[in-house]
Amino acid sequence: MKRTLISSLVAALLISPALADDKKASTIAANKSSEVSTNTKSNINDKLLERIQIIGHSDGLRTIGGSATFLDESELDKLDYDDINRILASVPGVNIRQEDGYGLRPNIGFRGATPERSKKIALMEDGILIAPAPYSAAAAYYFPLVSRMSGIEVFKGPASIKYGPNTVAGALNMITRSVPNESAGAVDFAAGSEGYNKYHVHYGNTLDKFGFLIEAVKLDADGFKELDNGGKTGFDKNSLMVKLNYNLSGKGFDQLIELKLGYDDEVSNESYLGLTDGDFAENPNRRYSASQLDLMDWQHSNTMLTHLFETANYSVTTRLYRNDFKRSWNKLNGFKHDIALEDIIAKPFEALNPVFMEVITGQRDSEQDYETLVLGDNAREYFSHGLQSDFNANVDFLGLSHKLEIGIRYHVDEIIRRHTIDYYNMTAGTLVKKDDKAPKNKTFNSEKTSALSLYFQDSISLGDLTLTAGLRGEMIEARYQDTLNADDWLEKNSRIWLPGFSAFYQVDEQLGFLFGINKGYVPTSPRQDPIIKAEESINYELGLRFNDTVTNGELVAFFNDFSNLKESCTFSASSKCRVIDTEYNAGEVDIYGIEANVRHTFKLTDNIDMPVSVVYTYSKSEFKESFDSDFPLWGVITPGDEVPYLAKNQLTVILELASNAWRASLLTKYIGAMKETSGGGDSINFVGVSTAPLTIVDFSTSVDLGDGDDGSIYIKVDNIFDKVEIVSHRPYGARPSKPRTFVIGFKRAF
Amino acid sequence: MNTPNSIMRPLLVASIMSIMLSACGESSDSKAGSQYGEPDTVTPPVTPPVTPPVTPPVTPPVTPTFNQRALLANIADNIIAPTYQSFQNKALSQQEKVASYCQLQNTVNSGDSQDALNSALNEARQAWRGAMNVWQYAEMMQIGPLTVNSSTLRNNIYSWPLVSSCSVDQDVMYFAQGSINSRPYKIANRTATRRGLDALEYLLFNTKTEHSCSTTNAILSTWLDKSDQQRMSLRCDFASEVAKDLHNNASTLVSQWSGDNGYGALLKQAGEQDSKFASAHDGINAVSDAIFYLDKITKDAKLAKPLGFVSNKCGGVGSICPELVESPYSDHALPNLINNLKAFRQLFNGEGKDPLNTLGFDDYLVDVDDKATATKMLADTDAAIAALENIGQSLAAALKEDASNAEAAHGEVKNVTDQLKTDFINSLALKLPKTAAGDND
Repeated sequence: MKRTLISSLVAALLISPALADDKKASTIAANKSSEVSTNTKSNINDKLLERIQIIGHSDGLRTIGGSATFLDESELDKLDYDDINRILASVPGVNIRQEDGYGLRPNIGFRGATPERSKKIALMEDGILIAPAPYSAAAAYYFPLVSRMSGIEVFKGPASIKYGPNTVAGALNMITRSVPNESAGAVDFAAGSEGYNKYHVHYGNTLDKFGFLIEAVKLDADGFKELDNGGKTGFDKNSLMVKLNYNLSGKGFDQLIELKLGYDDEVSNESYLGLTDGDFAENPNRRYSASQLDLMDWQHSNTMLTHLFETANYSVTTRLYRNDFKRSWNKLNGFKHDIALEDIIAKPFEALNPVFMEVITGQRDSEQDYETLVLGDNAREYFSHGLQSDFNANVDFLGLSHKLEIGIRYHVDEIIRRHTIDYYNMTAGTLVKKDDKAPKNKTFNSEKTSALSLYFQDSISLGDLTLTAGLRGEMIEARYQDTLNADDWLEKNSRIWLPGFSAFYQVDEQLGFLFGINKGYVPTSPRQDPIIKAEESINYELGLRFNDTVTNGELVAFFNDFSNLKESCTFSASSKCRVIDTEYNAGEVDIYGIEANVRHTFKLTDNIDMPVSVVYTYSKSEFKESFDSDFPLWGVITPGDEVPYLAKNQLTVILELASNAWRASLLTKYIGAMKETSGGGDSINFVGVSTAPLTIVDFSTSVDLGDGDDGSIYIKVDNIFDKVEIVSHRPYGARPSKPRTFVIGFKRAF
Repeated sequence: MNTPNSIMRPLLVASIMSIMLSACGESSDSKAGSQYGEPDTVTPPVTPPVTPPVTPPVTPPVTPTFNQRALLANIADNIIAPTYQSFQNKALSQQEKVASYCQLQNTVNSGDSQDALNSALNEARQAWRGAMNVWQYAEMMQIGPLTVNSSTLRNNIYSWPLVSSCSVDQDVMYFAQGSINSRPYKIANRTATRRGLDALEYLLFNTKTEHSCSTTNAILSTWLDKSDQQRMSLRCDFASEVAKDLHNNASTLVSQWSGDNGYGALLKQAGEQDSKFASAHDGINAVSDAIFYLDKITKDAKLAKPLGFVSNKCGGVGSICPELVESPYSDHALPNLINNLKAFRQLFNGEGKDPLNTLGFDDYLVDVDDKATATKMLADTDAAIAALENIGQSLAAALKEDASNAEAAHGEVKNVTDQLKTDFINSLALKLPKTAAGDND
């Protein structure tokens, strides 16, 4: 039935005689045909790369719909960030809530979508969903180490229907290094302030038909926060990736099989506990004694087997994947009393909160039973696996050239929670376990989802107009089961079709206009009561794109019309969640704004260029309904209230100087004030509180040694003016932006 | 080059069809286990929870005949205001009695007759019981001044269940020293667990002269060197300060409730322009929130927890824990419970200071054709009071010897709160207070 409908849609577009432009279509077909070349080892790896990228790289005017940004390896190298939050400063339409200063667990949203643990975006590595359990528990407590990525793609708008299940915001695709066509490798060693160290090495080669790549990264830092008892506040991250491929190309076709194996781990002395505003004013980097045992410890492994088959007319890319993620997240939950940590930190002088503050800060020992500190280990195991196949073909039909894209994915993921709690006393500034008893069980359950996804997309070139229509189907079977109570379970089946449409009208070789509309969707997690609706929206975009090779840019207006905005309450958002991971409906919400980016390269001398980039985002949001919510970031909402953590204005200016032998970059990022709560009422904290506007300036320079063959030395200064503000009062209290840090490093390619 | 129309046509077709698809392309179904949605119960309780289903609030009933603001006026003027005023009076009397007792304590010599001193101490203790009796009415009337700023004023008067005798002992010495951290000692700046009725109970009723801290804090390092009489004098001096502070806070409460700009007036003006409450019904909901004290505190904290219906400091579910009862030094837990119930009844049936005005929630229920609930709740309240009176000894003693009467009393209180959470809320179209979530039933 739905097939018939979409066929009708495509047919309606096809039979419009005014749009037919055979000459143009045949030109495109000819160009496409010429792209399919012989099966030399020099291009088979590149072809695989093309298939795992969403938008790819283009020197000319990109003619597909959808606002898109591609940061290639050279872009990523300029400021050499390890923090995805800082990398995305050069991408318009991104809203971020910072948390730990290093980007260990980023909170990324696009176009106003909730940034919380990046759960509303399609988060991918090499085109495969990479959140630990993207359907069952979308919050991305695992995030790949961006230091090993060779490209970052951000895509917003209709093309996100290819990548669900979350289509309200867009997709973030991180591209790992390809197997090189010939012997190639590099080392990157760096050291810096706060005990920062980076060791990064990779090497690969293609020997006849066999190619390989091995890459390892180690990143650690002592951290910039200062625990009251002098304990650790840093992190240690490791990442290892191996790729092996074999070229099976024959006459008239390319074929490649590649195995990717990855392992990542992290041990970080991080905490959800922030500071009172008063203590922040005295020392923003302080951490209270009660957080001294907080520790995140996780391991992640992934395996992906890829098969690529490509002829002059079509290609099929099939991937079999498996991701496993296991974590122990031991952190301060609160007190053995019905009082939320967030309430204590938010109002440290009210009621009985001073009593608890004395214990949190270690000024006073735990004396009463209610002053017992509760530490919870939210231990979890996740897996996701699936089989995904994407078919691309260029066909002529009814005299028109079509680019068909069809995909199918069967995906299964699960989260298993084994949350426990332990009781501790504060004794002379040290947390001491109260007894020798085993940890007490808190939450033991699992959520599992099996999902069959399909998409169909057709791009038709009609002269200067490129039309793309697509449809995504999600058929989801979800089950929640309380591990300790056999009668506490829920099974849900849902099916949804998500259409999208985009158009690009090319005025000339340098200028074009784009339009897009798609249906946004975020499924509810398996545990949520069926009365909690899925998040749904209709997203619109309209803009222009230009590129004359010296200057390029994009200006896009967007409007996301949510029929139901959904939120979930997690410890990372607030300690006031009555039942962890509970979801809430907000009904109708509008989010709209403008994204602009322009880049121009000034040629100062024959040897020195000065590229300048300006990225601006204006965002506005409005709840359209009145309601009173328990969700700690909403409260009592009246129409017109704004969603939390969305800055109205964001501006990034990147100035670069580049010669053959040295480069320098200065990035200035302004983030406007962000409301920390949407509504009012007595039951939520930080009513009317906004983060302060923040301007951060980062500097980076590198100088080649010798003629470049001996490598290069680079120096980075993040936040050169040492501007520190409260970036958020979440999860529990004021958290600082990262202070000024220095890094010096050495890179050499071979 | 295409014309604008030729471009717009497919755009329009595609957009319309997309939206049509989005409207029709969705379906879902679900099925659930019998205990889906129940609160997490990692350790099953001894008795299976019987939580009445909470029906979502219905639309407010049409009540053209019932004067909601008259109900609020009666509650504000004839019940709450007299209770607060009575507490202020009791607090003043308590301050005087404690001062008299202390005067004797500080002048009596070891060889002197103790009769006058004991008599003064008894009078001070009786004054405390008098103040506490009224305060347990006020506990059921936590609205306005007693809830703002995270209930700071309420906690300064009475912070139970958060109490700390060790902290009180420390402040006995800080007060005697006259300073803390090189700053003059001011009780108004001290945390709530070091002052209030709970601190005063410890100072007046505790017969042990050792300090209560498990480790000896620096300020208590000289405590062991002092004689019992010195210790009693030091505690008595601080008791006087605490009693004075209590009277100050009681006066603040009365002041914030009274007058044209007081909270009582604000409540009575519910629904007027610029009122804190959008409607009189919202004002009634605020009173309703207050009487849910009967559920979360009276039933759960004061009875279910020491009875071991939930896990407590003495162990898991099933561990009876007499040390958790309220007012342990004075054995005043039972009168506290009874006074909570009596205050609830007063608010429910509207019988306050003015015998001619008895407009209460029972009348409101009758007005919305739910006389059955009004009758049952009043009968159940009386039954609960009777069951508590039937315990016949202190609650702690009853828990140690035979908890059956206390368990029966808990059941009677639960009968009232079950009605409160269902028929009462639904018939009057009120919202459950947010604290009612995560029910222990």
